[in-house]
Amino acid sequence: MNQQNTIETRHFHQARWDEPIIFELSAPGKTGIIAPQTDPEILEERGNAFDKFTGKLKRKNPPKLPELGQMEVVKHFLRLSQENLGADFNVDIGQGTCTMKYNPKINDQIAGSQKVLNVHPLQDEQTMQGILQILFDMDLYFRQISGLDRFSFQPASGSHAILGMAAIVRAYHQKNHPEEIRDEIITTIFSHPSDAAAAKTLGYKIITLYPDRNGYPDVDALKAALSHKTAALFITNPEDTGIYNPRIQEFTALVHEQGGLSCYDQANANGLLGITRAKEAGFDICFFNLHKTFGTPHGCGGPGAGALGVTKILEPFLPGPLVEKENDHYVFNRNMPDSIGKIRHFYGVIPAIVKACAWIRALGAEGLKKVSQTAVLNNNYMMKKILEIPGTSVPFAEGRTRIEQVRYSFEKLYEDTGVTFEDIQARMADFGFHIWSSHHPHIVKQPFTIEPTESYSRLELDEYLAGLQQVSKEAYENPEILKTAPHNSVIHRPGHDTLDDPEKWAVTWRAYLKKCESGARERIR
Amino acid sequence: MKIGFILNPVAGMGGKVALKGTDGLHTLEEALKRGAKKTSPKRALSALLRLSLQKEHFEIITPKGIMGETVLKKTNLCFKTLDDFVPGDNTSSYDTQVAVQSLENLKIDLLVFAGGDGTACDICKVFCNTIPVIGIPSGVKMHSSVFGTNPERTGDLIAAYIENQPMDIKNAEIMDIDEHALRKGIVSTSLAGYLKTLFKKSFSQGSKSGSPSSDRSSQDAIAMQIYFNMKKDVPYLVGPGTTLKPLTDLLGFEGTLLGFDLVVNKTLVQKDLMEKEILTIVKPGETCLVLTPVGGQGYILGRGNQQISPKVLEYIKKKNIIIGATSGKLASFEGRPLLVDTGSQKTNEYLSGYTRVITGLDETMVLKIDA
Repeated sequence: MNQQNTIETRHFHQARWDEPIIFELSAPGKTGIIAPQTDPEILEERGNAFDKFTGKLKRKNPPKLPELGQMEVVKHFLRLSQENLGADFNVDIGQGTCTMKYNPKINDQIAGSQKVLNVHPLQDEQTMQGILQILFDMDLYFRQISGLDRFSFQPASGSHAILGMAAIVRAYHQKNHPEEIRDEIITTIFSHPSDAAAAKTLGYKIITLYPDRNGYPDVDALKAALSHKTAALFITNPEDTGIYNPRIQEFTALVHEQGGLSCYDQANANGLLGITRAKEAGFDICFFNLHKTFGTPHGCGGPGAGALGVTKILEPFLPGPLVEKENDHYVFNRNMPDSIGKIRHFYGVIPAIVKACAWIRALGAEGLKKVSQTAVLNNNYMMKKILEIPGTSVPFAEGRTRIEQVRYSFEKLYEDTGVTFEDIQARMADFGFHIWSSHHPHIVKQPFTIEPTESYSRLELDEYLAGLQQVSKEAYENPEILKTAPHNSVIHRPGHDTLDDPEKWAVTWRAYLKKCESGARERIR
Repeated sequence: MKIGFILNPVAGMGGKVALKGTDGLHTLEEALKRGAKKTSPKRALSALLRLSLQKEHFEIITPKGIMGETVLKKTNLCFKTLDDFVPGDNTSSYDTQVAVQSLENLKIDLLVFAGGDGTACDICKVFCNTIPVIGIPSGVKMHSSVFGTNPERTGDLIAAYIENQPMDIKNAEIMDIDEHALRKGIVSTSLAGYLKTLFKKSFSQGSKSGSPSSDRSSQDAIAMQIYFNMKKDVPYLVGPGTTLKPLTDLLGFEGTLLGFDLVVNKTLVQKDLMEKEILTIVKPGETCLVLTPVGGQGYILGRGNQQISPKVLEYIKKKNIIIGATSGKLASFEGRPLLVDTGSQKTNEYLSGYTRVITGLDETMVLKIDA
């Protein structure tokens, strides 16, 4: 990268190790740690601890764990880490909707401190008042941020929080009008797909609305979908296009008129902190992803955390226990007869909640607002610059502003040159960048979604823009470079065969071996 | 194995010069004026080079000169040229069609072509055979699903076919796109017909390429939803389209590709009904119509299903028009509404408004129907 004059793409080459799976490195008898023998005195007094396990608690055969030396383990995982393009390497703004931002390392240290690490969830609550206070304070912070009345932090992810919302919706309707059959949940095509997926796992029928001609959620389509069967509306706002629904209050009111609940997926809240709130928009339930907006790491399926909030009337249905303050002490309230119960063991992902608490406290109310303003400013900057790149466009609500992210299209570039988004994706990796398309189905053709959060400097945004400018230039001048990309990256173009076919899925080593042996899939060489 | 090979030497030339396609001599002249260069021979070569390992097991038959011979000379593959057809310097649709007929007479086992939708349509017009056809994607726009995902993958797919590897032979929709309208910004496509094609996941271009769940599983779910909801003693007119094929599979018969079949109590009563026959069914009582929109365009009535005339529609209640489409297919409309063009303004207006399209089990999408 030339920092003197114009910003250029970096000279980058990713490490490639051709590293086997750890089980393939295993050799019988190798060991990493030789545990010390129990002292004879202890053995004499207490006996062999393993002898105390009887019946079903005792394995018949030892687990087939990989057997390796310590150094081999270290090398294995370091090599894999070098083949990764993680958030701390990358200008990670190409993973739009995921709100990739800096996760302060100091917060990792706080969450990893002995005070957090050594707490056992079953110890007496009087001996973990600090953790309870964090849960109690976080509830208060989120009341302020959303305007709703009570929060639970049990969900371990956004989709998990959506499941929680659906469970609350079900419990509310069963309690208040058990004679009604309300089995339909309405969402929009540009809401997060988990709004449909997680609700469906609870047995709801899903009705998805398409946008109107101007690209906004279609209020007439909502009216057509609403009925006495409507249980709730599950909607993201701004949607994954970055478009804020200007008629959101009308949406929530229409749902209420039909006796349904309005539920707010706040996965895209990074441009809204201190600016708009769920309460004023008329929502009954909402949730935030702490691992998106509130600065904690995305854990690839965990440990994330969802803050699930409700209005007063729905408070009894929240997953429990909730934390209350009695005199100077914090206690768990387990007396919640109408609660949907636990949706995760114990109290949620405490380390993620601690990190988010530290993040909020470091910023304060003004700081949170500044986060959103900066994220929106960065997004506007990127949008202006990206639209100057030949072959790009922003379909839907054309010419209108976006909030904190934008779903762009390379369709013109594709039509002009035959270069697809997949080609561009492969080429961007050559510069050390990740770029993501969008959720299926691809309503925006040749899509890509950029969400430059508050964390990135203008220099970094310009470096990413240089990558996009370069791919566009190459597409028009020498598309073969893109067609044969990546050239400097470790991962080439993996086929989707095994992803499409459940028969070939292998999420454990044992399943992989079984499927290879049965001929369902081929072994990777 | 005998493989017929046809190259459309001008396919794809309109792309880089923003002409949306290269159909017709006038467009070709314009493309050349704008500085377009030939791209399809290079793409065809990329595909053909993938076949060198299997070269002992097949022979290619191809037209002389620029429609095949010139490219094949750059490979080490065995090939023969057609005796009865020599293309001129400026090839056209006519040349493609004549070459296809010549190859068909020689009883080939597979037809490979390099071109775009226009070339596929030309083949579809004259090729009456059931042997598979596979396209090396070389055109500007390829809406038809007869193409491999890229030249190299197409080559690999052909190699797999030569090696007799397991794969599906499926009906590919061949889309006819009006390039003239497209240049004015109007998308106007119609279903030109079907060709049998080789299909292997991630090798073939589907209507929803790259999607994490296959179109087929969504179609199965749509079929199950419609099947479960079928009411006793009510006649169902099941329309054309590959989306509805799993439904006819479930009902236990081979559906008519471009017609309507009558089903009562989940049993086939009659295939391929004419308007006159349909009228006798819809007049006496409740009848359900099962439709899927034309991919890429969105017409549910008025394209390829004229049997369902305004007269027929007078007797079918709106709530009994069941529409099924995968979310991928609906996405292909890029936010445009579903369309009806029944030939009667009054009927079109009656059908307009919001409707629920079945996209899976317990999944619907609300779309607008425009006249």
